[in-house]
Amino acid sequence: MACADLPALPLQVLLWRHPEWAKQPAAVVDRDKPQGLLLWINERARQSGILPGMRYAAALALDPELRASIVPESEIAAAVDGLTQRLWSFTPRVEPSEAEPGVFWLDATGLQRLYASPRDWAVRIKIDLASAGYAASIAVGFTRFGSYAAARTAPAVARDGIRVFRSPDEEAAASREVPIARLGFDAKLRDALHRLGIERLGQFLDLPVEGLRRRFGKAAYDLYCQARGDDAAALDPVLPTEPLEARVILDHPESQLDRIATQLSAMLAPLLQTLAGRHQGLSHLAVALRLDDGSTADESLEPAEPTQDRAQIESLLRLRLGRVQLGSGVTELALAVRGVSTKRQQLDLFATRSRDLAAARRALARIRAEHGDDAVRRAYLHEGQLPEHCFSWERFERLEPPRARDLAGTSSGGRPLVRRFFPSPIALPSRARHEPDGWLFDVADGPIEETLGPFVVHAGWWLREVVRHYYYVRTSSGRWLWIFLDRQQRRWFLQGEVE
Amino acid sequence: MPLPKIEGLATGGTAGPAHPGFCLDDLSGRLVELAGGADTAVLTLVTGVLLEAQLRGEPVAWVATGATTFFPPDLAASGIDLAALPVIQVEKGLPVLRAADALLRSGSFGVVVLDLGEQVSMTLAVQTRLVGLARRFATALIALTRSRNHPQRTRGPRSQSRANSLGSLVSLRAACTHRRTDFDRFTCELHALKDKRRGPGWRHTEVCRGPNGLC
Repeated sequence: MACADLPALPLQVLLWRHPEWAKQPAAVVDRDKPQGLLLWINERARQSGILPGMRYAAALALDPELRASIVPESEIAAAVDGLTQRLWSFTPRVEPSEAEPGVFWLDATGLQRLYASPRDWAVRIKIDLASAGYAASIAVGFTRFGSYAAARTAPAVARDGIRVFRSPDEEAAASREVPIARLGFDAKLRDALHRLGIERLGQFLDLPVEGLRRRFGKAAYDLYCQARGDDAAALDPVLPTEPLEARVILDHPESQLDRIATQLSAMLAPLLQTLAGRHQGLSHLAVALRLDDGSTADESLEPAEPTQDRAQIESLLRLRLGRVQLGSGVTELALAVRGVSTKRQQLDLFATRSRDLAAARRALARIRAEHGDDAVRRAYLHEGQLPEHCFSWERFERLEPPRARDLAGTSSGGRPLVRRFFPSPIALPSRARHEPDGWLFDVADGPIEETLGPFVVHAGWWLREVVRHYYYVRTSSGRWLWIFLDRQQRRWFLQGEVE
Repeated sequence: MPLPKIEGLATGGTAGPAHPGFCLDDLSGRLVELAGGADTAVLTLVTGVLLEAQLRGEPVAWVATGATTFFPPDLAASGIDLAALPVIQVEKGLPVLRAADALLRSGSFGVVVLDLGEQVSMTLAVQTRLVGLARRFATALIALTRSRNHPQRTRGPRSQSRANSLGSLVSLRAACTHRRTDFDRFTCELHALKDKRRGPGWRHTEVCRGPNGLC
């Protein structure tokens, strides 16, 4: 059993985005707010006394140079998938940790004839990961938790970040010296143990087990059992799947999209058959076209839900190809599909819903295929002080039955008027010093006749302070405009209007 | 033994919508144009129809053409489930109509809103196609339009219903206005300029509160 630990993988992903943060204390937070929790931190932040689990505001008090941002789960999952595929070239049995992204357990058995020694094998893995831009430490041992704990402290113990144990006793002795702060303990448990003066794993394992469970709960007890080596569970590896691809080189450059679509349909059929044999539906399709001038055009699409309906997929494919601008003829076509296990929808036989949600999803997928993936969106509400921070537009994933709230008879005061919102506020003409006819935005609307406000909003004081004075103003034509005065810019802007 | 009281059941009558003429039952299967001028209230009034549809479990969709759209917190405060409100953002012109066609053809939406803004045009052929689909699947296709001139302030009875209208196949065309009637109360009024089923002239009013800061 071996463990490859890519310390703070989400942080490594973040630092790719912001390479200028590499030499500063940096952290990944769960939300971009002062109350956001620090999830992963780098060594520079750790040196300042910052620990995972702290609030962003508290960490900033320790080190004002701290830089932090969020990393979406999808981005982390993509990185873990990519790393799993890389590690398959060293062992066929790789298990990524679900709890801690960046931790991978590897099966090192049976590789003696391929590599000179376990250390040689570990060195090759480390070099390969470094070539991909990842910092990693590796421990080759005998137990799941022991190798994990050793990998966590390998950079401090071994210069090359690799530890290889010759016996289970050696691994157990080494893991007892691992600081608890280096392990993925819950922040509350870690702090409680710190207050008791328990800093190392060995001290934790020496605690009376019943008292531990009574005082810290079942989660701490489970962790204790894992650290003690009670979980002798075998690896639960993610097995490599053969990619489903097809490639055709054309005899002559082809510029007719209809013919290209027909060729792609012919290539798609056997791939769908293979997917059907795996009891999977197509969830993602990627097309690559190599053009006669050497360039390539890549397109990808996703049906509303995993499907084996060839007609539906071909329809989406033709719509997507309709958007492609070909500079020259196509000389080579490549098609790759990805599938996921489909669930049988027996319960739909008894559904009494009058509208067919599956057909609605297909319609939305059709619109996405024709107008781009971002054409169908939904609004997410957030807690924010500025209007533009109160919501965001994100890709619409899946249409579900609506769950509206009937506010009639509640204490909400009834339905509010709905405002139209301008994502980019429109700069207004400055207010004249003398206003004989009133303040005029637009001649057609006439002057301002009524003003309500100001409603002062202070935001972003922890990064870049924004002070806005919001007003509602009514023009003589009856428009209720939602405007604000930006104190920093000293300008008036139109944020929206009541409709 | 007295019958239990059922909410919405009028005395001596049958259960019916609270606002006959402007409710989902009356709008289903029709092309409806809600027009507004400076004091328009189209967003507020169409939100009521969306809410009614969602409360019945009907999927709804919104097709937006410009960078501007509704302020989502206001819809959420009205009770709308934003997670079940797909907003399709496309360019003006043909893409809007193609998106509307795809949504209507699925037959799965109770309400489709086209937020068209100013300077809209829809050929008779397109109207025929969309109206046919809306009728076939009992979908309310509601177009929101806006003009610089108030829809009711154009002269002449015929020009009232025709000025800046989407076209002759619009089944219901109404001017929507709002005005402040109390400290924290606004009255939104819908005035039917053209109604192929009931005849023009009827009005529908709703009293709403102002958004935060306006009341």
